[in-house]
Amino acid sequence: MTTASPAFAIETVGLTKRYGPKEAVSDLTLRIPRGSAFGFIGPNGAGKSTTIKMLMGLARPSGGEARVLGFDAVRDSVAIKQRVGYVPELHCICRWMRVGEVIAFCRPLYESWNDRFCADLLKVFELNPQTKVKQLSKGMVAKLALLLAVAHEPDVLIFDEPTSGLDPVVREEFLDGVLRTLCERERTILFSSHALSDVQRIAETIGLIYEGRLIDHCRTEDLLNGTKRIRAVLRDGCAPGPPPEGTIWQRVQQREWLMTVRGYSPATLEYLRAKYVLDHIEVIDLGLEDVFKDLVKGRKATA
Amino acid sequence: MRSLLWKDYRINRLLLIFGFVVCVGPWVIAIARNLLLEWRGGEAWWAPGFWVDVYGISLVLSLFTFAMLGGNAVAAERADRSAEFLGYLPVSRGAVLGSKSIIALGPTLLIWAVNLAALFIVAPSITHVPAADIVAKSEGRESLGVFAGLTVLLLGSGWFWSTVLTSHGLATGMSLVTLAAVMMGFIGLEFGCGLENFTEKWFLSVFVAVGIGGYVVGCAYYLHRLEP
Repeated sequence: MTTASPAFAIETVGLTKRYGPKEAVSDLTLRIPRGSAFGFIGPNGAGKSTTIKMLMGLARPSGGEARVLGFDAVRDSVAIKQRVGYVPELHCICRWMRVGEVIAFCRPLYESWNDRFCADLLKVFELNPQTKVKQLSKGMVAKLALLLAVAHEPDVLIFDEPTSGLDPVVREEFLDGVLRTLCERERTILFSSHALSDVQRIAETIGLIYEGRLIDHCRTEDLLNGTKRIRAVLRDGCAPGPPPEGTIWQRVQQREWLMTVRGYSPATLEYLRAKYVLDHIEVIDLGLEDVFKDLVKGRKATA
Repeated sequence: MRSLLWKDYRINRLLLIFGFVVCVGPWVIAIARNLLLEWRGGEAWWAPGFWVDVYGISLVLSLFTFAMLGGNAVAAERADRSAEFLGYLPVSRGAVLGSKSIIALGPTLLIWAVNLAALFIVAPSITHVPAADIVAKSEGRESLGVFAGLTVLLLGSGWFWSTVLTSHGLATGMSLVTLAAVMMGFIGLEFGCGLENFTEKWFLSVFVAVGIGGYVVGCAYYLHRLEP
């Protein structure tokens, strides 16, 4: 067992996972500092869940290494699980147990289980200890999973599509619960989700994974401030040519030329105005969902 | 460990009830029938053969319990995906195997204890025939060894299949198939290679070797794999 690293809560170096000839995760190097909230996004099958499973010691890497709080994900997986709260996409909590039994079962397994915090969360989430898990709605099971993930006051929280399939109200309540635990004390969060508005709300930094490779890793704010969509209308007879530097996606429809530019600055507009005869040009702000879609579409187009 | 034991007990509760019924049931029915006969003025059959017959029925029925105890061990939790839940809790694989071993071996030993106590303690005190004679007269000694071997084989091979499969029904079935395969092997040796007169020791050795081998290989495989 190794000592905990002071700098990074989660660290992967050249992490690779192969299923036969297919590489689900390819040479992934990722460093998430302690106390930060990291959003892990990517299309279906990009390798997010596989990466998380390797971090949790639930899948053996084919190459590279993964460390959580300085502990090796393969050798020290029990030590990691003591310090990490994990909420997976499918909440596989034993359906035959009552809520109180699930808690009684998990409690002795953790060294730092906080009974008072657990009791508080039971009230906040309106979970009845006498109810069987199989009688709970999907949203209530998600809340129970969150309770189990945070009641031992972990240093790191890992969420793998935790709100998938939940209605907007329950999703909101779940996120409130996550933010509530974030406010309690400094914690590192890895939040993987297709609900990018949720990611945008929680994550300070974003990592985009595509076909097993990390293609972007930056601050959420920088990504949103520095990525803009430009709508240019070309004058008749003027054909679109090379787009500005940093263009991640573009589409031309008749005279309208749409492009999403990463690393946007006023110089981008000057470049377009100097190079093309334009009737109109405007800059459109994008949300995380649009940026994500354009990054993925751009990758697909260049693949 | 206590919470793991509690969970494994709860998962296997129905099977344990089934095991108790098929182990004790033949004794209860047979003894009740004899007592009823005596009460009606008839002559009950308390001879040594009675005890050996009932113990035989009880253990033959219990063989299914042993196969299911082995087959349920790991695969039952994979089947309902609760193995994944256990996978992200801070529990070592060794502790999981320890708990499951206790839940599989404990009832097996108990079933054997009930039958051996009936045969070696209760029967001599009622029939006033020494236990050794009761067993020897009815060839019970031979069947004791074969039953012990079958117990180890079904439990061990069920355990092995349970660690590699995701269906506990299939794992239980495969332990019975393993038994059939071993018996086919004996038949093949007898007719194909001309080897004859297999003694109880032959059966016992092969059954125990296959059973213990299955348990050890199953444990090693479960400890090595990271996936739930």
